[in-house]
Amino acid sequence: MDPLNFQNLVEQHYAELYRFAFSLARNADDASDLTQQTFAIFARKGDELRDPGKCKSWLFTTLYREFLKEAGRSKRIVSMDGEDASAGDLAISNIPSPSRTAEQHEALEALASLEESHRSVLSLFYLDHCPYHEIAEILGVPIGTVMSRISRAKEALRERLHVMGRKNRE
Amino acid sequence: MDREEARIILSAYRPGRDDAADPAFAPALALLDQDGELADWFANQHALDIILQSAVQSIEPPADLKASILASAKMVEPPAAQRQWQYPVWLAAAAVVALLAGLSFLILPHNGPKTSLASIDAAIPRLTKAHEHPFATDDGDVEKIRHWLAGNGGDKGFVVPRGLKGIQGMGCEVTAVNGAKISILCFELHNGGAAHLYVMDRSQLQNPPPDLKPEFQERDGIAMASWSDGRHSYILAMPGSGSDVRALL
Repeated sequence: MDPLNFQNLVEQHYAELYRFAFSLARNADDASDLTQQTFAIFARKGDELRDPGKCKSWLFTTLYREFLKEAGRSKRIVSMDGEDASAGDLAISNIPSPSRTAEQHEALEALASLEESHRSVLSLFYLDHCPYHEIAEILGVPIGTVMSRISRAKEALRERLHVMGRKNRE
Repeated sequence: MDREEARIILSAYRPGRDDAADPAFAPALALLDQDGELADWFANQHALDIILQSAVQSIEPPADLKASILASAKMVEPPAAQRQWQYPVWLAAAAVVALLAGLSFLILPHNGPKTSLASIDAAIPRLTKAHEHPFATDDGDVEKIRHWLAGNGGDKGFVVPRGLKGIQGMGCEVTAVNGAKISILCFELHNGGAAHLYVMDRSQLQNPPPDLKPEFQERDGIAMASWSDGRHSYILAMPGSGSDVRALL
């Protein structure tokens, strides 16, 4: 791969990778680190990739594995199990986005409060151009599991939004 | 197929995309015409999807992230094909990256008091000679050092210069100089000596070193190289001369 191709690859995927990383890590610093780390690994090992068409799923898979590795060891990336609404609140408040609507903000808070397996599958699901068979490849689970996990994750998200809506009305 | 099975399948269906042509969805989609309750559920589901999709797309990466990624990639050992870069292209890309990183740093707001690079430079010989670190590795694994630093308030998204690849890490610590937090990584050189890599968040510095192009100096018998890569600034220091430290970059 020449440097211009590398630059093109970065331009094409870094924003979506960052969105995925942010959904996983729930804070901007760790999301930036994960994204940067993923491309650094690609810079070292990218030439081992035989099929250029697999670049995107290689990048997402690598980022997800790096997140799991970090989450297993680091105290900064928290809450692998169970739901954690406060972590979501903290994370979302870290991203400046004047154009975000209140509805979008609430949706992101609800997403961030879900457990990791639900966050990861839903954030991939809502990214542009990430079909469910690619989600299965990235997460390393069968397609059937992806479908049932999306279904459960959406239920959890809906419940979360319902609770948040009730709290806001009180 | 019952309603529950159809719901699970349709949860993964995204209208307006290629999913409509996917035969896996066809039986569940066909059921929508026959089951009003399922159709209502599907309409609500679709409304939720639209909100979530736009919400996820509203997450914007930091302005300097792309420049940092491109700058970092230049500090690691590139794939074999990348070693054949044409010099003018490399130079042009490096200039663009440096310009972008520099501009982003100038434009973005930074909080907190800044520390001068000179005051950190002055402390480097003392820190390098002290060479005592609270964390030591027994197997030279730099990743263990990275994780210790991450768990102890240090940096972890730094990039180790390619000249240090394959050199065993000995230990690390997190310290501060005039309020600037510094992660210190210690490497055992093949001649038995040690080199120290100092990693800082560049936003802490009044005058961070330049991107991509290391600056060299010697102080009290310690050779030093300093550079930045977008988000981080680095100083590599070791007893010896400028050519010794240059060989590790």
